Amino acid sequence: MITDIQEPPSTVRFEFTEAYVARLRNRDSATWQHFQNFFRPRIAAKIRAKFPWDLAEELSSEIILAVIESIDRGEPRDPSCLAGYVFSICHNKMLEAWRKIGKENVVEFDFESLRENARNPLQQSIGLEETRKIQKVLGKLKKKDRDVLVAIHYYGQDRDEVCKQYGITRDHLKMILFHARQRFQREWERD
Amino acid sequence: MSDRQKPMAHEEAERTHAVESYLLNELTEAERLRFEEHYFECNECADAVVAGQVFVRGIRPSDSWGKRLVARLSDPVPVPAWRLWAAGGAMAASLALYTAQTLNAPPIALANTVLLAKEDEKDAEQMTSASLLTTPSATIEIDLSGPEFPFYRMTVFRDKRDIISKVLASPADRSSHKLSLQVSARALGIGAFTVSLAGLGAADSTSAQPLGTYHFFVSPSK
Repeated sequence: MITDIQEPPSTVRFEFTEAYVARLRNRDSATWQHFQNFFRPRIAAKIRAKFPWDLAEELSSEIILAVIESIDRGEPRDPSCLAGYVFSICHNKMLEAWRKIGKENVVEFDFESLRENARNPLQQSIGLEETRKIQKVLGKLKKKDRDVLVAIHYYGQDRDEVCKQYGITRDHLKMILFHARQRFQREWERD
Repeated sequence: MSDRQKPMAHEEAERTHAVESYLLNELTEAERLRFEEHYFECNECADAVVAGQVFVRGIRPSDSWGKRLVARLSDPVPVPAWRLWAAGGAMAASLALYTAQTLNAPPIALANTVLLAKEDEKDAEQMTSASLLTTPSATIEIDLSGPEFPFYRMTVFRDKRDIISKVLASPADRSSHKLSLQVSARALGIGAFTVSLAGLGAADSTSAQPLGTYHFFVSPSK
């Protein structure tokens, strides 16, 4: 029975162990599932912070594969550092991807894999349910706070201009986003 | 990565509202890496970042208050180009068409043929095949001589429906001012195709700018 794979409370750091890494090498399905659930969102979040969202899915899979290949070769030497190790591989792979995709001027589409009903990545990135919840959260904000967020994140207005116009500081802007994000997160995690 | 600093401590991340600074892209490069390394370990911050990215990405005005907001903003607010872009062919009518310049024309017989459109031939019905260059595959050269963007999104439409889309980093070598897109009749199947290119101003792609559209057709071989 697996005992060290239980997810701790959200504020507690998950302890990766030698046994965990060994099970990963043996492709234990529960461990593999946990590994994916734990790291894939983090990898995607890091990619999304620097690359367009369209690239996150494809690049995440490449990075997960690179991590597993490396683990199979006996890395990391200290299993308790697995999270930092995955972070390093993710960072290096992103640098590599950045260099690689800028080299060639020839665009290659995988036309063979086209499906008639394929959706645009932009349409896929936020589901209808998330959109509804975001609208609900925005609807509950003070008018000024909501207008500030929409002006910056939807209309792409200059932040300093928006702050000046609404008479708020950059720290205040951060707090508006903080409270809105927390509300959304509670809505999101409720399901 | 050997010279990197220690990951940010959770207390520091909380105290400085690192999640929000990260979402607003206000951390320095060193701070960003320290925070990222932290949330690779920390469930609370990882969940907050993921939820925050979805939230920020999905922010948009509702019909009831969106117009009022636009009226208040000091500068004229254009409809965000990337929203138009997501909607598909809305901009096609106002953009230039392309005439083929580069062709691969191996003398082999395939079931279908790529027909590169002339400037006045937007729809398959308007084709006058006698005046068109035909080939089983072709390379379409996409003009990049305009303003430079860090990323570009290229989307292929078949019969006005988007079928595939790809984001590309700006080519390291821009001296040729062009991107080459290889298309093959066999892979695409029969139809009228449009390739659209947009420049993306930032990683979150909220400031895309339509740059051009290019048309070609795949018809049954005679």
